[in-house]
Order: sequence, then C-alpha cells, then structure tokens
Amino acid sequence: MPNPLRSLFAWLKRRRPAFLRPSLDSRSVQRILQERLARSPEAVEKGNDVLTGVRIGRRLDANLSVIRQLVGDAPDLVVRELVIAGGAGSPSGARAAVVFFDTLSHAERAASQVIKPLLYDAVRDGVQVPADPQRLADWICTRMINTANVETRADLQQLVQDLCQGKTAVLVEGVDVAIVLDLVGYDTRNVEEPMGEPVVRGPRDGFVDSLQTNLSLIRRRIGSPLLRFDRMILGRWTQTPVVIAYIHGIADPDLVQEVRRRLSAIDVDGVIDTSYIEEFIEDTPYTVFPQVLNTERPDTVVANLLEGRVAILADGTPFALVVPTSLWALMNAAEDYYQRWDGATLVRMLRYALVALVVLLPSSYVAATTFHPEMLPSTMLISIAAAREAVPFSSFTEVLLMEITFEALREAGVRLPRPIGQTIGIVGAIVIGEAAVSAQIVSAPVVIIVAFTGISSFVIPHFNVGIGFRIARFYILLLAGSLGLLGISIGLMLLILHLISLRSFGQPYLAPVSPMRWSELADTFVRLPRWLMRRRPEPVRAPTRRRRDFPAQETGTQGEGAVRASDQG
Amino acid sequence: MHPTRARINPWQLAVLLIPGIGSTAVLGLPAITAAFARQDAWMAPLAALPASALVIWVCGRLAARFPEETFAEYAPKVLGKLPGKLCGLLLFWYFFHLDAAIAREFADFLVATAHPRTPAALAAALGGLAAAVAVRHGPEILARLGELFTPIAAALLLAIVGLAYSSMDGSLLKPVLEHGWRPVLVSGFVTQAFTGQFVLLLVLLPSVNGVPAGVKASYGALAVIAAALVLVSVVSLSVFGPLTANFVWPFFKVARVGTFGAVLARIEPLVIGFWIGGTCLKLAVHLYAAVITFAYTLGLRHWRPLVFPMGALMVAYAIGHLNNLVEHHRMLAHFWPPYTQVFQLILPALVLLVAAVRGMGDRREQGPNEGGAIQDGKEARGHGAD
Repeated sequence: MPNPLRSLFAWLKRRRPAFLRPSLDSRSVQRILQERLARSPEAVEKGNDVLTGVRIGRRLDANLSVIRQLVGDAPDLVVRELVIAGGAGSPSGARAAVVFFDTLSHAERAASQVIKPLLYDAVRDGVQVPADPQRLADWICTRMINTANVETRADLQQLVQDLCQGKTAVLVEGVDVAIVLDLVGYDTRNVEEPMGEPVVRGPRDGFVDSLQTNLSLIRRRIGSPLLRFDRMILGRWTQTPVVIAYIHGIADPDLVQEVRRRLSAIDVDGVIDTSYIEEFIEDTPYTVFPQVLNTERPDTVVANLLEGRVAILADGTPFALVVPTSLWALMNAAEDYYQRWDGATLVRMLRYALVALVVLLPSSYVAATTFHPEMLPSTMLISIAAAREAVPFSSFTEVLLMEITFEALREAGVRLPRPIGQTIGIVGAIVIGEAAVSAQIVSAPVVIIVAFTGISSFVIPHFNVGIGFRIARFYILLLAGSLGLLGISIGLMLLILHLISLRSFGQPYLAPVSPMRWSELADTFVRLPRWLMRRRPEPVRAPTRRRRDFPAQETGTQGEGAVRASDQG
Repeated sequence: MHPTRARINPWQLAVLLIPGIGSTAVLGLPAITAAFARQDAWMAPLAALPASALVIWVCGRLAARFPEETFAEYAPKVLGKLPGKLCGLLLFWYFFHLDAAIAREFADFLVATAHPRTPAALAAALGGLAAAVAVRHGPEILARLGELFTPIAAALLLAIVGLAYSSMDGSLLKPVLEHGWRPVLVSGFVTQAFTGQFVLLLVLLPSVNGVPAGVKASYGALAVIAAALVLVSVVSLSVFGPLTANFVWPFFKVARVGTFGAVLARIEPLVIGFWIGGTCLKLAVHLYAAVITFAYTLGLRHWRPLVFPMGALMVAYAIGHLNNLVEHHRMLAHFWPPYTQVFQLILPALVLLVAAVRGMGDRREQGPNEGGAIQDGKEARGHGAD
C-alpha cells in the first residue's frame, strides 16, 4: 500500500468513534493482541500499533491479563484484587483491582487512599454501592477515593502509558473505563545547592532529577498565573515528560510556537538528559559554541523567563535549557545579578579579558617568539631567549605539548574519583611542570603561559562555552604557529565572523552588541544597576526556521507503525 | 537571494562604511598627500569633502529613484540595454580593480612590517580568503562585523594619537598655506580617490532600511572619515614634519613612536592586527560590491557561487598587475585619482542625469511642495518606463 494511504488509514483508525473501536471484551481482539505480543521484539514495537484505539473491556479478568501481558508479567506490577463491599443493594459487592507499579507509586498511599476506602469505608458507612456500572465509576471517583488527582481512561494504550508513568489504576468489573490516580512517588535527590553553579550570595536551591520538583521550584518563584507549562512526551521508548515553560504575555508567541515545533520534530529512542534535546534544536549543529543555555538554577531560569525567554525541562535531569541565548548570556554567572552592580561589572570585564587571553595568549607567545621577536620589549625578549636557549623544541611545539598536557590533567582530574583527584594536582604541578622545566624540555615562560591560560579558562561560568573557547584556542594556536600575527588576525576574524553568523532560535548570537541594541547593552559586558535596566529585551521576532533538519530525523522513522506520544495530544 | 532582502540599519551602514573606506586611507594617505601639500596635507580631506559629499548625494538620488535596486539593475533601464550593461561592467571593473589594489596594499604592508619573509601572494590570498568567507555570509553579517570592529578600532586610533601626543610638535604644521591653495587642492583630489569610494552606496543603499536615513548615515560616515583623516594627517605631520612624505605608512610609524612612559609601549602588533581586520573588511565590502554588480549585470540568479572565484581572481590580479610597492604608490598618487573619478563620480552622475532627463524612477521623495496629482502622474510615468 502506498505510504500516504497507509498513514491516512492510520489516522482514520486513531480518530474513529468509540463504538467502532475494538474492545477487550471481544475474544478475537484478545487473541490477536496476545498473538502479536508473543511474537518478537519488533512486534512489540508494533504492539503500539496493535493497541491503537483498543478500548478497555468490561471484564476485569480479561483487562488484567492483557495488562499483565503488556508489561511482561513485571515483578514490580502490583495487582491488588478486592471486592468493594456493598450495602444492602448488592450484598456481593463489586469486584475490582488496584493496579500500579510499586517502583513508581507510593504503595502505602495506594493502600491508605484507595484500597482502604474501597474495602472498609463503604462498609463502615453503610453506603449503597450503585449497581449501574457508569454510576459505579462516578461513585468511586467522587465518593470513595481521596486523592487529589482522579481521571478516567477508556483507551487501553493510554492506560498502560499512565501505569508506566507511575500512575495507579482502579479497574472495576463491569465498568469499561479505568480510574487513574496520581500517586507517583519515588526516591529523588533532595533540593540542594547546584554543584556546577555555586553562588556566594543568592538563592541556594538547585534543580533535582525530578520534573515535578523542578516545576515547583519555578512555580513558587513566579506568583503570576500567566506562567505557562506546556507538557509533551519525547523519546519513543523512554516516553520522557518534557515541559516548555514561559510566561504568557512576555514570551513572544512565535518563539514559543517555534520551540514547540522543533521539539515535536524530535524523534529519538530516548531522552536521558536535556542535552539530547539541545542537540536537536540548535540552529547550527556544526559549531563548537553552544546556542542553548543550560542551567541547574531555578533562579536563572526564572530570570530568563522574565526576559521573555523559554525554558525546556525534562524529567530525569536537573539541567534546564533556556532559549534563545547569546554569547553574553552564556558568559554571565548568576552571581553577577546578586552582587552589587559595580563589583559585578568589574568581574564581568575581568572575565572577558581572561577569555581573550584564553584564546590569544598562547598563540601570541608563539607568534612573537617565532615570527616577530622585534615586537617584544628588549628586556623581555632577552629573558625569554635565555629561558629558551637549551630547549630543543620550537615554541609552537612547546606550547602545544604543554597545552595537551594541561588538557590531559584536567580531564583526568574530572574523571578520577574525588579522593585521588588531589594526586593529579600534585603530579601535574610538581612532576610535570617543575620537572619539565628543569629537564629543559619546555621553557619556564611556556609553563607560566599555559598555566595562566588554564586558570583563565575556568572563569567562564558555563562549562560548554569554555570548551568552545578552548577549541578555538588550538585553532588560533595552529594559525599562529604557521602564519604568525597574520594567522592570528585572520583566524580571529574568521572566528568572530563565525560567532556573528550564529543564531539561537533566530536571535543573533552576539546581540545586543552586534546587531547593536543600545538599551540592552546594560546587561552584557557590564551590568548596570537594576534601576537603569528598565526595559525588557526586545522579543525576538519571527525566529528563522532552521535551514535543514538533522540526518537523525530522517533515519529515525523506520518504525512507521509507532505512534509518537506527541501526536496524541 | 536578492541582496536587497537583507536589511541593514543606517547605523550599521555607517559603521560598515567607516572601515570599508577609511581603513587603508588612515595608514598610508598622509604620505601621499604630504608629497603634494607638505605641511598643509591635513587640509586635503577637507578639500575633498565637497566632491565626496557629491558622490553620496548622487548615489542617494539614484537610490531614491530606484529603491531596492542596485546600479547594475537600473542602468540598463535608464541607458538602454547595451550601454547600461556596459556601465554595469565598468562599475564592476572599478570595484574589482579597487579590491585588487586594497589586497596589494594589504600584502605590501604585511610584508614590509610584520612578515618580511612571507610571500606577498600568500598574505593577499589569506586576506582574500577571509574577505570571501565574510562576503558569502551576506551583507547583514558584514554590517554586523563592522558594528563590532569600528568602535574598538576608533578607540585604538584615538589611543595612538594620545600616546603620540608627547612627540608632537605643532610648529611643524607652520607655515600654513605656504604655497597657496593649489597644492592643497591637488592633494584633495588625491584624497577624493579614497573618500569617493562612497560610490559603494550604489550597491549598499538598496539593502538599507530607509534610503534617506541611509544617506544621512553616509554623510555621517564621511564626516567621521574626514575627521579621522585630518587627525591622522595632523598627528603624522606634527610628529615627523617634512619626513612624512618619505614614509609609506606614516601613521604606523606614529604608532611605533608613541609610548606612555615605560608602562605602555610597542602597540604596533595591535595596530597591525586591527589593520588586518579593517582591511579584510574593506576587501570584503568591495568584493561584495564587485560580485553583486557582476552578477546583476549578467542577470545571474545567484551571486554566492561567484564569491570564491572572484576573490581568487582578485588576489591573482592584485599580485600580478604591479611589480612592487613603489609602483603601487606611484599608481596611487598619479594614476589612481583621475582614473577613479570616472567611476566614482562621472558614471553614476551620468546615469542620474539621464534618468532625470527621461523622468524615470520613483520621485516621491523630491519634496513636499509637489502636488499629489503631479506626483501620481510622475509615478505612473515612472512605472510605464519600466
């Protein structure tokens, strides 16, 4: 069958009215389901297709056995069968089952808030259990269950989805809907100070790995009802809940729409961290500079929402994404906004100066010693020449050697277990630095320069921008070693050109400096006092669509039967 | 993509034009003008002001008549197909030749100051490469590069002047007008070859948001460039006096001389670096103009594929068409000024004149005193001629 026809049929199948949908009551539906599920791993993926539109049946046993089979007789699936004790009207009571994963839900809360009322409270209060199935379901929802969040589901697939997300289901004999309760509960980290972005002064809480907690950290900071959380599900297998947060009325609707569009275009097996999302939604994939800000700080997210940006949070990771962003935003630390403005401004300028050194200092040294010794002041030239006298390598080789050593030390320091990390410091500082100089493998000025460059690279608040500049440093170094000052200038020009041409969700990467927006300069390499920053940044108008999508998008769609959760909304 | 779809604001146009015209003039021009006018060379940019303003005015009038169109597109409409295309090619040749001259200057400067053992061809090729990469990004990115570059470069220029202050001797500027006005006017004519490069507006103005504002910004850019040239000439002359004419890049020498005690010295690597940046920008702007003019003269649909081949040709021409630095500077001083006037002033003025005589183009911006009915009639005629 041609593909468009097939997808048309699939669409029609999804949209058909309830009475056309197969119900689990039908023996043939049960049989087909069981056959297909038993077949092979690929068939399980297609199982989604099989499930599409199947309704929950009236017969409890059939429902339970299909659910059990769908989750592969999971040992952590709890099926508590019980009888809702009836009053005089139906002395036998109604058979029911409470179903949940005890790895995802609070078993005690299920017991106290669902099972206990159904078992005992009805008996104790002598309430009449309605005989009519529809009224029975309503009665359970409204009278018996004391959880805040109660919904009913008629769709089997949706029900299983909910179970896998940690919801609890109540199925009742004779009722063709399931009652779904939110008793989600599992262990997460406590809210702690974020490790990666500490502050001296300012809010101390950081995001954790649970979406629910993270959203609460944002919601409790923004009292306005205009704060919006748009939920969607990403990841074919992980079915990860992802939330787009923005403030309605501040964020440009086009921007929000564009974020939604880019997110819903993502088709991957799993979203483990927001970095998975980041790679898919970047405007320019081929660059060393991140075009999306990531942060573990709720206050940073809130500050950005207030400036009309959009945050993306995913379950299972403490890192939120903020779009659009600019190089200047990535060079800012949260602390800048909590310190006095004069101090913050000086710190920012220091940061930019040091970043310039990170990119230019090693290459300038190489260019000056190799090509332009006449440009150094004579005393400095003499001392450098004296230090280099016995060194067998060219200064380019020297610097490259030491830079690579430094990068190796840093990487080792990050990867090693913390107690051993100290050793690396000692080995690096004493053995390599000191010994290399005294053995005259490298000259002392090179060690100084590389060490200083290394320290400077740590002042960049966002780690991933730091990586970008570190890579840029090697590129300029290479040019300086081969073409001297000309190489540095041309390399720097191409680097700046590249930065200028980058965009983050349509916003120029170097805005508001280039293109110049005077009113927003107050928060770039300076931070003016808050009472001078009266205007919000201009909303980004009409984000340009990314010119091309990723190859991954094209290859990732072979499982045509799979229905993306985002399509269901 | 049509270049006029890209939008540059007037401020960006100004900061693009300032390095796009001034960057080569700043370092070398005082030597050339001082050869003619000696201690009065600082008046040369002022003498060139009226003619340069005229260039801007002509370009502005043309842009107002033919909004959103580049010279190569409306010239055939105005002059007839063949002469119009020919004019387009002439303008292209001017941009191409000028670009080659800039690349030559770029290579010569680098070889003379920082890279004595680097082949000039390599230096020119690298400059051409950077420029071509920039041009391929389109005029918007070029303008934003100008936005980043110009303020810092201007600060550097002022810093050099400040550092050289202690070496300056005002008496070297005297006697004023020792030989009368004639040498000043001659050197002004030479300067006009530089400041007349505002003919770039024929290509850039269609991309600007609002032609009148763009023209205003161009006058501003002219004022800034003229002021910078006067400043640079005054400083060079008052530091070196009659020696100025003997240097090739007197202002670079000024940067060498300037110190702030023992605290700040040797800023010439910085100067070279910025000069490379500024000249690449100038190369890029003119390469862009050349490519656009060429593409639209020949009626090509895409101009981007032309950028790298054109850049390569330009570099080859830059290296091949002159033997050495001396020839280059002889050319700049004697052949270049009358030669460029053909393209900078005569060619656009001719097209404007014919367009005015034939009453072509949108004339709504002529003035408020024109009645609505007449205006409509003229507009209709303008469209009829299209």
